[in-house]
Amino acid sequence: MNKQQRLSRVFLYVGLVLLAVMFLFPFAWMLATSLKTNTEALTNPTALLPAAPQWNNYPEVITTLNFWRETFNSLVMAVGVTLGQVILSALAGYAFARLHFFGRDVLFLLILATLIIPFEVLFVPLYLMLAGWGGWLNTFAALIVPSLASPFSIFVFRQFFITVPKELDEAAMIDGAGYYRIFWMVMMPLAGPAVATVFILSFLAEWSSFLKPLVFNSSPDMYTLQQGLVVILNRGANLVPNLATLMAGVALASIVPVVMFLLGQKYFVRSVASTGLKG
Amino acid sequence: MEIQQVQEQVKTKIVSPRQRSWKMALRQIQAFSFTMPALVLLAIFLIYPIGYVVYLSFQRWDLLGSPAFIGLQNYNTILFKDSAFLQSIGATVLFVVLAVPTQVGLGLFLAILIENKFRGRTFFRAVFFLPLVISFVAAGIVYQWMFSTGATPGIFPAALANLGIKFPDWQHTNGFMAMIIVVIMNTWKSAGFSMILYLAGLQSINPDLYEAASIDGIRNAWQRFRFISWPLLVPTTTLLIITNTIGSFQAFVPFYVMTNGGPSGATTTLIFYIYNNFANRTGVATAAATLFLLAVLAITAVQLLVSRRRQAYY
Repeated sequence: MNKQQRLSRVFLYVGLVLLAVMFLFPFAWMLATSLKTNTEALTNPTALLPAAPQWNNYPEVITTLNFWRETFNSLVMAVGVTLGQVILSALAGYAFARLHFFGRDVLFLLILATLIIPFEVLFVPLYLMLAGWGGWLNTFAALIVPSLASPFSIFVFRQFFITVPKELDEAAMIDGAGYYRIFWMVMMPLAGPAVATVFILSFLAEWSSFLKPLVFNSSPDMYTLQQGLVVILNRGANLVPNLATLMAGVALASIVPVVMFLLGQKYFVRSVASTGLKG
Repeated sequence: MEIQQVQEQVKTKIVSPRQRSWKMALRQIQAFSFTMPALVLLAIFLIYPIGYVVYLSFQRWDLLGSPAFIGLQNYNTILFKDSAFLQSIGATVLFVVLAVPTQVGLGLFLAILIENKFRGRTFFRAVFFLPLVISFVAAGIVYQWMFSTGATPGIFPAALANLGIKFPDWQHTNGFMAMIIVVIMNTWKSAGFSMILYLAGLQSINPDLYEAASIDGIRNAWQRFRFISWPLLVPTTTLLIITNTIGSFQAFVPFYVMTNGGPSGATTTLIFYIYNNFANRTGVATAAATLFLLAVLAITAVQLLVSRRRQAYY
């Protein structure tokens, strides 16, 4: 390394550390505020650290937020949608990649075209449909079933199955295996990367989703964590919330995705990178 | 392959031609059945609602009683009578114009910084990625209170006040500043996405190109970026602009959480407008949704055309 290279290396590190501080600051502020007393948080906003950490804020917010119930609701919704998407999309993706049937490619193009249509445009008719069917609103069915089929997930599986060597299913077919057997015994065991991608992206999306529970849920029993944070804590009866417990709630609501990310960073990065194949 | 197999069977007289066509039809049905569960759900929860939105946009309905056909009146209402709709278009376009370049630009900058291998690279990548995994609700709440200008000032306005600088009151009067605060939050939260796609793009560039360029007299980092990386990243940039434009067009949650659409409707985006109206003025809300749908289709079409031409140019 010559002098100039060493100098640019130093600049790079200084810049990166500054950026990292900027990126981590909101997390640090959230955690520090979650350990203040509410008076401290409200009257001494510039002090970064609490005078004495108030661990009590956490049990307190677990009660006011109905945290366990909401975590349960969020998990059922996110896991339900994710598992359903993996199975349905893998089945469809396999057919679009490997099997032959009339109209296959037109059908697939049609599915691709619906990729750009967001839930945000459809929540009004979906709400009216669910309300009209009677008994759907305020149920897990409403939170899960409309999100089960995902054009994007089908696309991910199709793109993956196309790359599997044809010899594998041909060999299985000669051995007398039918489509279902080939799907379960040959294709699915190989589909780990596609499963991981769909699992991560759809779990994150569902865990974070807010508009859907906001519109489909009115009963506090069905609130998801995101909904509880906004409806119970941030917009409670009093407009100025208990800031310290609010931040404790935000921290608790972020544990699941953050821990998942720290454990599987590699897979998260790969999944997000794979969304680039869309274009 | 299975078709050939059956044809072989016909030739060798294992099955008759009639049996063959029956067998092939069965195969087709079997193959098609794999897509059935997904297709049925897509038809019910994606295709049908699109038609339903368009249908409702021609009706007057307040969810009580039954809808009544009123032609284009809802469109007339939102385009010419309800200034809130035009304001929401303005807010949405302003957000897209501010949010897309900032997150894509910061993402590109971060990707270039951590492109090469060095000690701590994975750590920095994780730090820049981290905001992506938390929810917009969580991020929105944190930023709302860090920047609060209400009775309980957040850390930044309070710190500036100590220095004698008054932070623009985005929560009560300054609508543009409210937009800026949401854009800051959004940039922080979303830049990691662009960074990852740019990193993938940069890694796919053949290193020989840089070597060849250095022989041609391209020496410094800026020139390498300008004349090699940037042109080769055009597909990535196009993709990011398209996805982020469509994504920002749909922005609702950050505004619902952070600004509640205020002050005075300055941050009521299109989806927010639809949300505000869907229960009492369903026809108006769905007319807005229909126009929104058309806009998304138009943006996609235009950007696809533009990207085709650009790629041809390079």
